[in-house]
Amino acid sequence: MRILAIDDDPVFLELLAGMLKMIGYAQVTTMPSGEEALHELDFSGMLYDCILSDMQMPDMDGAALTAAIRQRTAYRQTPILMITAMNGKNAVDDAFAAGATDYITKPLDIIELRARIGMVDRLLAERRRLAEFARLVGQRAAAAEIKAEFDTPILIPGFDRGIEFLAMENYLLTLGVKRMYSTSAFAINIKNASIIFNKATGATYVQMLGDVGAQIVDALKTEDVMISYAGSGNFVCMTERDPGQSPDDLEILINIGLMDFETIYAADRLPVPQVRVGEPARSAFLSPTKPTRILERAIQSAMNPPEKRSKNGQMVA
Amino acid sequence: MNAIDLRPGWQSDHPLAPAERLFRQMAAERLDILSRAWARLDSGQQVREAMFDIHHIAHMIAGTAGSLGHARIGLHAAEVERLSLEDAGREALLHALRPLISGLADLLED
Repeated sequence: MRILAIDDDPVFLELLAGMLKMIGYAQVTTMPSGEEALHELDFSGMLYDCILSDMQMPDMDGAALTAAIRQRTAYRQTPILMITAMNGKNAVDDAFAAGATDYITKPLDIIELRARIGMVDRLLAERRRLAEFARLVGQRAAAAEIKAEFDTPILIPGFDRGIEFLAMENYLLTLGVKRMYSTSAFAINIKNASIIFNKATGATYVQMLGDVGAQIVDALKTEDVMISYAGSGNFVCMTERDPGQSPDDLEILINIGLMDFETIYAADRLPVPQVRVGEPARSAFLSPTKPTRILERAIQSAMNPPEKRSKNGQMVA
Repeated sequence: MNAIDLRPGWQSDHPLAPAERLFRQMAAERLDILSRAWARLDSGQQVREAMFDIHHIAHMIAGTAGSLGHARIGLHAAEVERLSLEDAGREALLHALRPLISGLADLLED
């Protein structure tokens, strides 16, 4: 794995490179600032697999650097891990919003570093598998192989408001207790996703996901919502604010928007995607469940017809 | 600098040896910056610049010292960083700076 590490402290860069070497990652290039890192990405001819950046740097901080990296086509999906002091954990919010994948705390702990980089390694392996899958789809390979990928969360090409599902889970884990309780998640299930998946080519299916994503963005009344595709035809939205509209209203708006694509889908002999919006899920006070449980509950709600949901509407994780 | 200067048990080819060497090399420069900032803070002159230097240096030391085996220096630096972030009073910061400065000085004498 080719890693680019950025920090204004040369000692930290040596330390990080040394620790990465200890856990088996020796291809590390270091840069002392965001500006020099961008120059390296643009002109070195090297394609990096992972970027590790300090959060607090003079001139260009980690969030600004992340945003600039994400503007480069070759690095839209590259895992970017923020490195931050324990007392700077709140600042990683901006980095997540700009497209960061995860964060590591200073001082470095080799066990944590191994776990986080291992996660990146698995993510890259999954992407390679997806690329191979796309190649197989292109060749109209075995249907069994195609079906196996229906569940996989993907970053939808061209859907700029979407963040990786893994990044959304990581973001939830950074929230303190207070912010966790003020955060809610709701999911949007494409009811006929599996039908479309089985009938369409891989590229058309992904295009359909992009169409739904765009309609979700249009229908939402606020921009303060993180959106991610969780696989199996489910989008998950997360917000700390009141979305300002009921699930039913949102569902109608999205479905009306999708009807505009009817002729395009008809040309491919495909049904128009139809969505169901689930009830918002929140963490319960004094609940010992893991923070990411609200995402599971949100998806569960969207996948079940309303008559099977709890009577008071809101789901508590 | 040779293997004797490294943390006990680390050979010169240990992956963290270059970081440890650099940490020690930079300790003198950082000690100098902190000492000058301490004097400015104590005299009440150029306090803003002194606070900036203190926070910057403490942040960098806090991020590396512990991982290189200098746990006490790391803790002192983290405390100084915390106080500078919280705009704690001058006295509290001067007080917290003392063990950090002497820790760096001890390191240079090793």
